[in-house]
Amino acid sequence: MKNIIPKNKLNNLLSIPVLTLILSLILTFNLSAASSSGELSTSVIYEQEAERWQDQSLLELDFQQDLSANLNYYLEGALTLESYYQQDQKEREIDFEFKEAYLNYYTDRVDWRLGRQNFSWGSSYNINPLNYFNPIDQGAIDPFESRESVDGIRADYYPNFNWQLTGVLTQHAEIDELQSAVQLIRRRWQGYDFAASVFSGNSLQSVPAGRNFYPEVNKIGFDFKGDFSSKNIGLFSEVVYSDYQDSRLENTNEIIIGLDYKFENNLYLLGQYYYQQLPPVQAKANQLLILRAEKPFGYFHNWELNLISDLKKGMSVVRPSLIFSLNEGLDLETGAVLKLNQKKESSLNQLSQELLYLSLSKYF
Amino acid sequence: MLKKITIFLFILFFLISQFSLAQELDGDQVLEKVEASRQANSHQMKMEMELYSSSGDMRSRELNNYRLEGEVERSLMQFTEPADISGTAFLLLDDQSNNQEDMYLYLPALGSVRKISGSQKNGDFVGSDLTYNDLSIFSGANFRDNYQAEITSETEETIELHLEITDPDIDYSYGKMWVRKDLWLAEKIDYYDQQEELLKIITLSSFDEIDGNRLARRIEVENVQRGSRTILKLLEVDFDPDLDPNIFTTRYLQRQ
Repeated sequence: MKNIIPKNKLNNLLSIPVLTLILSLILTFNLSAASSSGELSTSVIYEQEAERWQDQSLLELDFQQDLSANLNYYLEGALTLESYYQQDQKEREIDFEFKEAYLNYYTDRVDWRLGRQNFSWGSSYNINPLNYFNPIDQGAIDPFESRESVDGIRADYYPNFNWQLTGVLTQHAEIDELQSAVQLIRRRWQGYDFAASVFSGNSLQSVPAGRNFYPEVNKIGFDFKGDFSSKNIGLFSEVVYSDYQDSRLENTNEIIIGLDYKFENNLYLLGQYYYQQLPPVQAKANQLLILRAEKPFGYFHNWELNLISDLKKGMSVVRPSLIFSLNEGLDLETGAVLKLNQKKESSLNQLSQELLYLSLSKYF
Repeated sequence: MLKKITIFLFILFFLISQFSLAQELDGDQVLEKVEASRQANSHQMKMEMELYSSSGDMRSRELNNYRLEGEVERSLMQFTEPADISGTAFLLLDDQSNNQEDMYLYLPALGSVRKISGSQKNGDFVGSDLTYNDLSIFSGANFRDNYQAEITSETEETIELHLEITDPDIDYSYGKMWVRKDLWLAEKIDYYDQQEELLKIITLSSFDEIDGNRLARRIEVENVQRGSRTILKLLEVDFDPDLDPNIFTTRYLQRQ
């Protein structure tokens, strides 16, 4: 997990005023229409490559309050306590972060959101080239499910049900630069939702990976999601063209196309193909195949299997997991991250390391 | 004497008229009468769902359901309990004239609205013994769109129907329905799987009438093959409320 440290312009511009504004509004308005929820979890993780044990405790609290019919705020804080054990050594880390902290303001046609937030642009599963703003958390068990939030402003304009125009201005997650984007969505056209977006800012990942260089780039993206055939098979796609401003880098294309389907026996299957060109001149394109299966068992329990396979290098990452519902709101989860045919040169090798875990979570 | 004859003729007329009524109705007309028990074009309901596994373990869920009929049939389901699924919401827009159905899902963890494939309606509804189509029994079913019915037997209190499935989205081979004559409501439905084995027994009870709409406040669904059961309880209901059509939009979902 990475700490999100206030370090940049928009952070200073937004975070402190937003939190101050939220606090002053709390004191000004009646404390009504508030709701809170949370999760308390404890995990034991064995990292196979580092040969070390880790225990991790997490307290996550969400709080939302309506200040008026058109104004509310949302806070999500996470307190993490991590301990590492390796031979005779022991390390302990405590971290608190506001994962999200934002203010919503609704007008007749426009919804505003101001503060730390996540954007869920793109219709494919977890790997979303259209998410220009929130980087993946490479330290998480499922890096693609754990994106880091960023500080920014978002305005959604709804002329009618079928159309949505969104404008975004954010701070880059790692460097002191402003990012901007506009997205137009057309819903329910022949059973499909379409979106087109333009972005101007810096690349989300460093180039090359691991360096602190986030080149300037302009992007154009498209995506759609809908059903085809009488069986209602889900079909989705994302396409992003990136125009890098640095002459040492090549412009790139990223394409995802995928299908998903839920069977009558509750088995859910998803498959998607990801083609990713890389900006360094001599870098070869990535081709990934992502498969996901999940199914309930024993009425309240669930199993999941995720596989990401690097089609060019032959390496795969498999993530099986079992989730047992022990009681109302009490889950026991066990799983693993396994690397098959490990290759140093594969992009998958930079993702989470091989591990086994056991986790107990209470939701309240 | 004349008085006795008059009474006799009156009773005879009454019996004949009752006999004729039942004789005149065919299976589809019985379904029509069941459908007519619900006059409202919209509703809002608060429901509790209890899920029992074959070993007797129980989990519960609470949800709000809003429904608005029209050119496009709109339905919104929001889960309020328990904590791990609270805030999850489904929006279903069914444009029958254009044969287009769109489903949207809001997950609090994602904080955004996603279009989901129509196949998500396959299988069980949020881990219960109900399918999405079973749910419509509670929220005002269009039985005639889904079934063709034939009367198989009749008593003084009930009519038994054989249901032939006409909607390809319904994955049963056939069904049986027992309709109460005094209320024109189903009190029991049996569904058979593709191997024609009994799969589910749905029992409706706690009948009520609100603003001219008759309904069951309790529905028990037993999956006899799995040994599990789900009990749906109607906690609150309001027919033809002043629903804002804007709640059936992705914008409203996003605001959750």
